[in-house]
Amino acid sequence: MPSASGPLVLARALRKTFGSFTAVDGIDFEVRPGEAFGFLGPNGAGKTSTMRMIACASPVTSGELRVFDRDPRTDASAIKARLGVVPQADNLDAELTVRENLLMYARYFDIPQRVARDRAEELLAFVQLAERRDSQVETLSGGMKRRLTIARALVNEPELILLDEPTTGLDPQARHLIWERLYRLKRQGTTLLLTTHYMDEAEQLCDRLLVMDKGRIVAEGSPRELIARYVTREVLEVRMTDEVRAANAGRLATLGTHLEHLPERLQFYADDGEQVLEQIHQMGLPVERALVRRATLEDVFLRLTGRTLID
Amino acid sequence: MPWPELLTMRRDEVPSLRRALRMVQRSLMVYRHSWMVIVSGFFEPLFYLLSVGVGLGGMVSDVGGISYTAFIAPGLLASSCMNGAVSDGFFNIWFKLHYQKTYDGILATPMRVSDVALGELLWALMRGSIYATTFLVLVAVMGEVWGPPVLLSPTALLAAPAAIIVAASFSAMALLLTTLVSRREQFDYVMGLLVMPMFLFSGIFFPVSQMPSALWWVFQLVPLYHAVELLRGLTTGHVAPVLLWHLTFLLLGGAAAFVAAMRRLDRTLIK
Repeated sequence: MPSASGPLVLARALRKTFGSFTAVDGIDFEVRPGEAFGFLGPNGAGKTSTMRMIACASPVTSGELRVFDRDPRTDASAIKARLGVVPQADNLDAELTVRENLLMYARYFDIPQRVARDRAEELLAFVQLAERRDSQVETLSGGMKRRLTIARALVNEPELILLDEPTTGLDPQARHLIWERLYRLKRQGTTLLLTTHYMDEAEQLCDRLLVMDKGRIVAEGSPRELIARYVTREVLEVRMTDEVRAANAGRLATLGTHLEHLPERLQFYADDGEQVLEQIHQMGLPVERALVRRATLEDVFLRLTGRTLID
Repeated sequence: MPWPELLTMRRDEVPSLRRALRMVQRSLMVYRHSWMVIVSGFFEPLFYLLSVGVGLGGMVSDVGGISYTAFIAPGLLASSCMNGAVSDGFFNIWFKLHYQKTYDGILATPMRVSDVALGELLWALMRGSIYATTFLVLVAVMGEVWGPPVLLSPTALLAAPAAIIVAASFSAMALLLTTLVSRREQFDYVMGLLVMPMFLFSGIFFPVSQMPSALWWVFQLVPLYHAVELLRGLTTGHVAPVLLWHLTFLLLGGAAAFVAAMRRLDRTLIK
């Protein structure tokens, strides 16, 4: 039995390869009870492979992985009984109605039929799908399917919920509803483990983040810590013509703490963005557009990998 | 994959009957919405029997001392077991596996691949047994009312459990075949080059003795041939030791196909 304070997930030198391709390249991390833990990174960073290994849906290539202090290789059913899984692509049962999806899923967990019926009603209300209880899954919108998938993952009252890009492809309203529901779960003490490539999602939901790139961990910490450690308080985005940029590269590089050259803009990291903008004006350089904003995780990612998250 | 591994199951792979029955429960839930699909399965062998057996049978003399209708009825029963398995395996299971990803969802619960595989097999078997028994009862009644009789011996009672074994065996083989098909077009090859020829050349419509004797060895490898011979032996009362060979082929072939299908499913789903 795991001790109450022991990690729910523990990975040591965890690797996953597909043929000659290395998806996860020796990572170490722990997920502690009650926290909202996020994997952040672009597509292909190894987030989903890591999640699938934890969910016992993908065999570990090498290294150690313990979930609830058990080995996914030998104890998959016992682990899965305590997990809730929201996969990247919805895999709802298309041949069943909304409510039947929950009822049947409960049966796979050996939940008695009577309990399952009550729980299905509660969950339908929780994800605001009560009115669609008898609809065929196919007739639901993307956001509704996502909510149903989340409800389905809660049917066994899991101790740990794995969410792989829970809001990718959804409209802003649907995203906010899902975030709000995940918040509630977090407040109730459920441990959340999610992957995302949305910075705002990571900042909103996660207590602790692992930034992944090309199968490796490049940084770890709370969103605030990561911003403090890798970037400045503010970022100044400046648009100017290529000629001006080229002719003044040396002078511009002296401004702020750090300068990032992006194809369509310059990003100055500084604790006071307005001050840097003032300096540019004093140099007499023509600025097409300028914007001072708070630094985000996107900037952290840019500093760490030298790439934007758009891929 | 080495053969010994194919024929032995690891302890953690042995499916649980309790979990497998969850899959049956799922199918029952699904077909509550579309029970007509199930009912329509009854008609296929019946229509064949009426058209070929009764219609054509009137113009054909007896085959080996029995009426043509009595000759082809057990063959049609065998082929309906095959067609049921193929349509369920191919069109339903393939779509759940590759398109709807239903099994991925189910495998995120304590259910294992082997439980899912056994569950789908049990469901196919249940469906097949209902069809087989209904067909046998119908032809028995038809034979009594309009003649000529189709079930010629008390051993015809054994045709019902035998048809269940045939259905199970074909379901396992169809499951294996389904795991081998990765693209939709491949269905057409399988249907056109495997299922259809089996239907035409397995001794349903004429005795295989009409074929060149050099092909005898080929027939020994055709599952439908064994099914037809087994069922015909029982419904006509031509019970001989060779029926045991047909039975053994179907049992061993089905079991091997099931284990191989389970392994293939595991590789497709857990990766």
